[in-house]
Amino acid sequence: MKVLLADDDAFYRLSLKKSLCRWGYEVVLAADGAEAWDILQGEDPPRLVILDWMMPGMDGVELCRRIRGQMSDTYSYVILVTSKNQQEDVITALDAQADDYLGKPFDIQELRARLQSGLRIINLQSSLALKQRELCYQATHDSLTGIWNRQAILDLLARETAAARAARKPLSAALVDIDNFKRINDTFGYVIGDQVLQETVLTMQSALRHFDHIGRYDGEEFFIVMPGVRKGQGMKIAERVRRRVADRAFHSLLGQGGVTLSIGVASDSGGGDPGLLLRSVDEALYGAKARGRNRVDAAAPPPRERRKRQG
Amino acid sequence: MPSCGDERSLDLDVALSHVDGDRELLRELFEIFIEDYPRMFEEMQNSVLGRDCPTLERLAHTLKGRLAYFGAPGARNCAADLETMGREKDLAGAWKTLEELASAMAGVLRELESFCRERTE
Repeated sequence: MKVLLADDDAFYRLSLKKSLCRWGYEVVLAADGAEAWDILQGEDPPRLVILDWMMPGMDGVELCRRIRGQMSDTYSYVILVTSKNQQEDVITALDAQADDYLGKPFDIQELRARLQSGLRIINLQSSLALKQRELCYQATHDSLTGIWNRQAILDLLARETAAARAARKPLSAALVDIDNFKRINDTFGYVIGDQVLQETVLTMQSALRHFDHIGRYDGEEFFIVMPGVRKGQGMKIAERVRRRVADRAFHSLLGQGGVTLSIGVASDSGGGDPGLLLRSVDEALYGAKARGRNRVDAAAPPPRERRKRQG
Repeated sequence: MPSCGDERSLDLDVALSHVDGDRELLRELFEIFIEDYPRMFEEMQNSVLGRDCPTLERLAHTLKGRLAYFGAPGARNCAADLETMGREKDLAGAWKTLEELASAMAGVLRELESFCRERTE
């Protein structure tokens, strides 16, 4: 574990460094507040921080306030060290959000014990942060394919339609269905069915632009959001997705052409209504299915609801 | 009234508690101090002469910290008084306190030097 030790007195740096090394810490030294701040801005900075209060330029209290003012998902445990020993000094230090306070000179064993409390807090914080990231991932991703889940892709659709409306930019969406997927599952079993889903997702992703979004909408249905795209180009992207899957030789049992897609495409022409877009792609997908599958169809323009509302 | 230097000059047990009993490290620190101290004292005298209160406060603060670390309370108190004078920009008693510091430090330096000699012999 790395420890940052900031003290303008070389004497203290030397004496504390020896003890810290003996306890197994990797010690990073700073001779003033500005140098300490630079180190904390660097890559993989120390999370345990020992700051001397009295330093030229930026002092320990100011540095502590700066550390706390920064948005960061990793916690820095700050111990302020000083020979200012008045009660109001302790209050000032804790008000600056230091975690702990040690009056100079201190028994070195006390520092050792206090650093251990700091370590406990840091370890606890990082395991919580890790858990939180895991939970956040699980809550927004489909566990089988790793793409967005239904709720997350619908949230993205709402966000992208609002952004497109604000920026007066077009937006297209597509609803994709794997043709006769039930038959694949019934014939080859769920294990191969799941592999087909995973491979289909990878193949579709390879045909999308890196800023398009794809999510698992339902069973073998997928939803694609294509920002900045009018219907014509949305159709082209969807056609590229369809062809790449159709051309691919999937599992040896299925062979080339064993997996095909029907896709419905619609675009938002400035209305910013994600519900309308959803109904439109659904209608278009229904059309593609009805016209024989393995094809891309566009929603019929303009949607009936709109004409009614305008009329 | 006792002066600020009227106390035992150096308590080695206190000093050792600050370095986890590492006598080798303590010797190294003492040597740094013995080398630095004459310049620090001279600079404090100059700052009193030049009425440079911030410099006096800073130097006296550093000296106070080191002396407390060594367990030298008498000399430490003199340094603390000088730090207060610097902070409050009131140098009325500064020369007298500097003299008291010098006399307290004579004892401290003697003990530091004797500790360093012991270890090298």
